[in-house]
Amino acid sequence: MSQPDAAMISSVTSAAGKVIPELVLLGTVCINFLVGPFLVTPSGRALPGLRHRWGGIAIAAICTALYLWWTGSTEVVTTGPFRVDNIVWYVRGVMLIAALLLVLVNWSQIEDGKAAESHACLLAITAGVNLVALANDLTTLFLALELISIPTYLFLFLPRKDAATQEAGVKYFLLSVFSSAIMLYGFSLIYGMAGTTDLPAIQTALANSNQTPVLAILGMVFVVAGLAFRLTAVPFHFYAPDVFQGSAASGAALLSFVPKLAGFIALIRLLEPVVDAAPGLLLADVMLPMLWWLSVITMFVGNFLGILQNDLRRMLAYSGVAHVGYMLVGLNVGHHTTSVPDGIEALLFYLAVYGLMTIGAFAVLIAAERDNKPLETLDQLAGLHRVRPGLALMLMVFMFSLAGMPPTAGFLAKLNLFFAAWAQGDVSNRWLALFMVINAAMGSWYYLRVVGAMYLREPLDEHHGSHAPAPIIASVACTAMVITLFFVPTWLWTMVQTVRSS
Amino acid sequence: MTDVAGHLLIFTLCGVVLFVIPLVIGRWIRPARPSAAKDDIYECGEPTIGSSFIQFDLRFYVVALLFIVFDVELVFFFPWAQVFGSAIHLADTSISADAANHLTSTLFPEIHSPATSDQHSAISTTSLHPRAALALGWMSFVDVIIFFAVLLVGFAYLWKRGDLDWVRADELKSIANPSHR
Repeated sequence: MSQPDAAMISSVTSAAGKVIPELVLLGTVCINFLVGPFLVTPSGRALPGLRHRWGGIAIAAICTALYLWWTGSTEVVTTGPFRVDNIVWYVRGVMLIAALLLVLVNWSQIEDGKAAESHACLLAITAGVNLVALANDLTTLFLALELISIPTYLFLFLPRKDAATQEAGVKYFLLSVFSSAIMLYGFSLIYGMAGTTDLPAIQTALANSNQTPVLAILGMVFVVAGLAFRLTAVPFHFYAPDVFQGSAASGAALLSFVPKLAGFIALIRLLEPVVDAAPGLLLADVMLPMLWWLSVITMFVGNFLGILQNDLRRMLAYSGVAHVGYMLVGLNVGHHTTSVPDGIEALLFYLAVYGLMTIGAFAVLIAAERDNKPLETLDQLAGLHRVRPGLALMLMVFMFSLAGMPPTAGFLAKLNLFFAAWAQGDVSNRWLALFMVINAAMGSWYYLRVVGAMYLREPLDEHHGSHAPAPIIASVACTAMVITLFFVPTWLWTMVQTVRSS
Repeated sequence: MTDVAGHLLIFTLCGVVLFVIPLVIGRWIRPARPSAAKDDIYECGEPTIGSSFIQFDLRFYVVALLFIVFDVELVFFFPWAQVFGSAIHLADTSISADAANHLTSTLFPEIHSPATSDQHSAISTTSLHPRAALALGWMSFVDVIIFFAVLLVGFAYLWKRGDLDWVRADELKSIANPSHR
C-alpha cells in the first residue's frame, strides 16, 4: 500500500474536522435561508421585532463558533486542502469578534423582513474569511474569496432600496467580478507554471525550477492586482468612496474591514511561498518593489483625497485607503527579515486594531442617525457633544486612534509598524517608515476636523437621534478595547507573536 | 524574458497578418455589384413587425438567471462522477493490477506531474488499496449529498419567496383590488 495515497485520502477525509467553527456558521446560514421566507408575507413584510430574533440567532452561532475556536485543537497541519497553523487561529479569533460587532452594527439597519438574509450573509462572509486563512490550495482560496464577495453584494443591497444603494451595490458587484477575473487569470498562470494548485507544491516547484519564473511573475502581478481591489489599494481604490457613500452604514463598516482582512491574509499566504523560494529570487525582486510603490502611493493618495472630503463616509473610505497603505508597509518589510518587531506581526496587530476603530466609528455614526437616515456631512455632527456627549466622546477616541495618537491602540499599532520598517535596516524601508510618519501627520488633519466639529461648533438643532441599544453596545465595546489595548497591549501582542513561531 | 517577448511578438504578427490576408484577397477578386436584394435579411432573420426596440419583460431574465445558476451547478457533478466512478471501480478487488494502476493515476494525477515525480517516482507503480478506495468513494458520495442539500436550500428559498411564479402573489392581490396600487 502506497503511503502518500493513504495520507492524501486521510487528509481529504479529515478535512471537515478542521473547519468545524465554519461549518457551524454555514449551517446557521442554511437555517436562516430555509426558515426566513416562511416568516414573511409574500410582499416581504414581517412581524415587528423579528430582526431581534435573527440577530440573536446570529450572535448565538458566532458565540458557538468562538467557543469551538477557543477549545479546538491547535495542532499544526500543513498538508491537505486546509492548513491549520497559528495564523488561522489568530484570524479566526479576530474575524469572529469582528463579526459579533458587525451583527450589532447591522441590527437596527435592516428591516424585519430582510433580517434573516442579511444576518445569513454576514455569517457566510465570516466563514469565508476564516476559510481564506485556512486555504492551502489555489482552488480553496478562490472559493473562500468568492464566499466573501457574493454575500457582500447581497449585504450591501439589502438594507435600503434607494437609487444610491442600488448604484453602490451594482458598482461593487461589477468591479468585484472584474477583480476576481484578474485574480483567477493570475492563478491560472501560476498553475500553468507549477502544474499544481497545492500551495506547498507550488513552493517546491518554484524552488526546484532553474529557469526564470516568467509565468509566476506575471501570475503574481495579476493576483496582487486582484487582491489590491479588495484592499482598496491605489490604483484600485476608485470604487471605495462611491460605494461607501451609497450603502448603509453597516455595509460601509463591513467593507471597511472584512475585505481588507481577507486580502491581507491571502497576500501573506501567497507571498510566503513565492518570496521565500531561493531561486525565485527574481520573483522577489519584482514583487517587493511593486509592493513598495503600492504602499507609498496608497498612503499619499488616501490621505490627500481624505482631506478634501466633506461626506463622512467618503472620508472614512479614504481613511481606509490610507490605512491599507500603512499596513502594506508591514507586508513589505515582513518577508525578508528576522528583525524585531516583525513586519507581519505588526501588520496583524494593526489589522485587529484597525478593525476595532473603524467598526467602532461606524457604530457611533449609526447610533447618531436621525430618523433612520444615515449621517452624511460633517455639519450633521456639529455640536454632538451637547446633544449626545457619550457618543461624541467615543467618536473622539476612534478618531484619535485612527490618527494614531495616544492613549489609544492606534498609536501602538502605528508605532509597531514604524519600528518594524525602521529596524529592518534597508534604506528603502526606512523611507517607508518616514513616509508613514508624514502621512500620519497629514491624516490627523481630517480626523481632528471631525473632533473639532463635534466639540467646537454649536449644534444645528436639538435632535437627539435614536437610542437603539445595539450600535451603542458595539461602540462601547470597541472603545473599551481600543483604550485597553493601549495600556495592556501584551494581550494581543502575545497572540500575534505565536504566528511566526509556527 | 526576451525569448518569451519574441515568441509573443511573432505570435501577434502572425495573427494580424493571417487575419488581414484573406480580407485583402477577397477585396481584389470579388466583383462589386451592390443591389437592394443583397441588403435584405436572410437565413437567421425575419423582417421585423414594428420597432425592435421594445421593453423586454424582466421576468424572462429572472427565470433565465435561475436556470443558469442550477445549470452551472450541474457542471460540478462531472468531475465528481469521474472521482466517484474511479474510486468505486478501484474498490472492486477482482480487477487486474494494470487497471488498478491506471485508475489510481487518474485519481491522483499529481503523482505523475514533473513537480513531484522525483520524490514519489516509486508510487506510480503501486495502486490504491481497495479499502481506501471504498472510503474515498463513500466520502465523495456524502460530499455530493451535502452539496446537493445546500443547493436545495437555495431552491426552497426562491420557491417559497415566489420567484418561480410567473405572476407574483403580491401582484395578484393588487390585481384583485386595484385601489391598493
